Amino acid sequence: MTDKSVNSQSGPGRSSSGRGIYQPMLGVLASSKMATVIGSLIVLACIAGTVLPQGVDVSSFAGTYPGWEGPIRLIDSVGLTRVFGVWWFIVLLILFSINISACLVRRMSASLRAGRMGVSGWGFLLTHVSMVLILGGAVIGGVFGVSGHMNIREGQTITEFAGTRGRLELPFAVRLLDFGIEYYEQTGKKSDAGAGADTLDIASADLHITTQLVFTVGVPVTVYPDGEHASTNALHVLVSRHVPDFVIDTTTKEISSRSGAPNNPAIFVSVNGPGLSIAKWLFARHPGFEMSHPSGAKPTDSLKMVYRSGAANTIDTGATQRHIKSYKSMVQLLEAGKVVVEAAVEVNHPVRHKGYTLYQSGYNQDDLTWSTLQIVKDPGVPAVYAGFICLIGGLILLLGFKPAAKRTSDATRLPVGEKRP
Amino acid sequence: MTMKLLFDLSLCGYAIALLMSVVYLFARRRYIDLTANALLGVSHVMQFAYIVWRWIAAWRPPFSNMFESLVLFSWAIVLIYFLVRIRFTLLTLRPTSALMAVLVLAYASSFESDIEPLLPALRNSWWLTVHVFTCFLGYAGFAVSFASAIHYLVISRPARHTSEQTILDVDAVMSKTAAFGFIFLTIGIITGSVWANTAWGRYWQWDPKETWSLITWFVYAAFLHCRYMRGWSGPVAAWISIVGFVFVLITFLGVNLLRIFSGLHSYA
Repeated sequence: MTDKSVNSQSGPGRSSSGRGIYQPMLGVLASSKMATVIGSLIVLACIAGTVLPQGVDVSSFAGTYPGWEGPIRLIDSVGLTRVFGVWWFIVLLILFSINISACLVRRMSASLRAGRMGVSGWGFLLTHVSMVLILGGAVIGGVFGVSGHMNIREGQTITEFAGTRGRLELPFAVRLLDFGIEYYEQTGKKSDAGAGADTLDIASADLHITTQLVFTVGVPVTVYPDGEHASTNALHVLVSRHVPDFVIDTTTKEISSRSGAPNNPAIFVSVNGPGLSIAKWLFARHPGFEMSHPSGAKPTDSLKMVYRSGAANTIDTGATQRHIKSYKSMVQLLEAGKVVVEAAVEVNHPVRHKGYTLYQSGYNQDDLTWSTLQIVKDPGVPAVYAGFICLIGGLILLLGFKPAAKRTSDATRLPVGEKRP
Repeated sequence: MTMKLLFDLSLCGYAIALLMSVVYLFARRRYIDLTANALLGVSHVMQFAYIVWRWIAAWRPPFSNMFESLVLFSWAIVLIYFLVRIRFTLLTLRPTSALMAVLVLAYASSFESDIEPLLPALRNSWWLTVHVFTCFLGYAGFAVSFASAIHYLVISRPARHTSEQTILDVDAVMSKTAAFGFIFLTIGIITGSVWANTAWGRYWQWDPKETWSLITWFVYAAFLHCRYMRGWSGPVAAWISIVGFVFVLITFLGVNLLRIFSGLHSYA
């Protein structure tokens, strides 16, 4: 981000020649040392932000890992559990922008004095302007942007949504006409049918049982050996609990559902039969993983069970599994009671109106008449995108044509074995 | 012929090309050189056919999971080798490129190769193709730069008595492939951002993959800045390139395979 060739022309040494405090300050702000220090700190912060748990509730985390309470509280006190939103990370990004801007000013003023830019000069200008634009766009979005979610039911009309800064009013109303899920079919053709049924595959070589149950939670089922309808070798199967998004509290061992979405569907199954008694959790997304009930029910290896969730968006289960292809909401946007836009909001196909963008972000698995839309207004996006274009253009000019590289490749022509500077 | 056979044939072809390239280092016979090159080229074409076949069979770009990403990565490494070869003839470039392609493909075969339906968020062929393809061209550029950096450290020792021109060529390949990788990584990050904004309404979410891509970007930005603006070259540049590739591996593999990371790219 700095240019050595300019250092010699406008470094701190020129301060004594009557340019006041401007040149020394510019020299410090645009220095390589500052760029190296800030860049390194940003990289270290980014590493910390991905390695350390982010956004955790420190109290519950410390409760789960009692021995780590001290270090966790220390990490939290310096903001390392929320790196990307903490004040010092924002300051680092601001300092980085200042460093780039100062470097840009110094290099451009030198180029203007010299009366020529050249390809590398344009490349330098574009790459450095791009980063200022991207960071500036992010600041604009952070300060003036809004985002939030709207849970809306079919037929309902809503004008406000829950944003990060409380409830916000839209300059138009949103009406949900219809919500639907599209599935992949075995044949590859799409279908608009609802969610598939949950099934439980049961196989026991000892008992000659191979079956697939379409179960109902709380309703016991008796399974007979293949070809028989009355036998003492029957299995009594009961699915007593179903959770769409399994989560366990490691302290209390309490099991609950993190959300209504089928992110980690699990069922609790009890099987009783001749010589066996099993009670365990089965997971649709993790067919190989089973969790036995702590009550001490006797496990057995002779009985194989696989739970297949009809609603889960899984891609690694059996042939009977249907997979979600897409989900979309048909919406109308109204102003003064009149429909101004009617469109489908789909993943990858948002709808834009009056600076707001509506994204399809979720749905309620238990009631498919509900849809969740994400509402975003980010006035910083044009600046960020302009920065992206400048960055690509600048890099192509800098590295694609590489007049500077030519200079340095000449500089590398040193005798073999001689140390390079 | 089945799709799997094409995969196996290209892996075998790369392995034999690697063997012949190593033999050529010790026995400079022209027919060995030509055969190794031809074999590498044919295997590369077969691998391309495999990717196209999978694309047609899946009815979507085959770049959506770890297996498919690794296949694309190995193909891109060999592509970069052939592009570099247009201008530079370096003895060790072929065996190192072939070795990386073999290792990556062999590793790919340890993953499930079934064609899987795409998650709703990935169902955008244009962005999926551009984003993943540019990222992997970038990674492949860094991989060849990494191999050249190791080569440089080996041959630049005084005891090796390597010709000055060879050292300069290896140094040039190291920096040019890093520059190539950097341009494509940048395009990859940018296209990913634009796609994320289309799919999720946020162009940057500090997801582990995004963040590690940014870290890698910073490392190579520093490398290229030192190389082209400050004239750094030689062992220091080579070591930065090696460190940079470690960051690439964390970005590509670590973020997906290590349990400490979880985020929007966990499917890949």
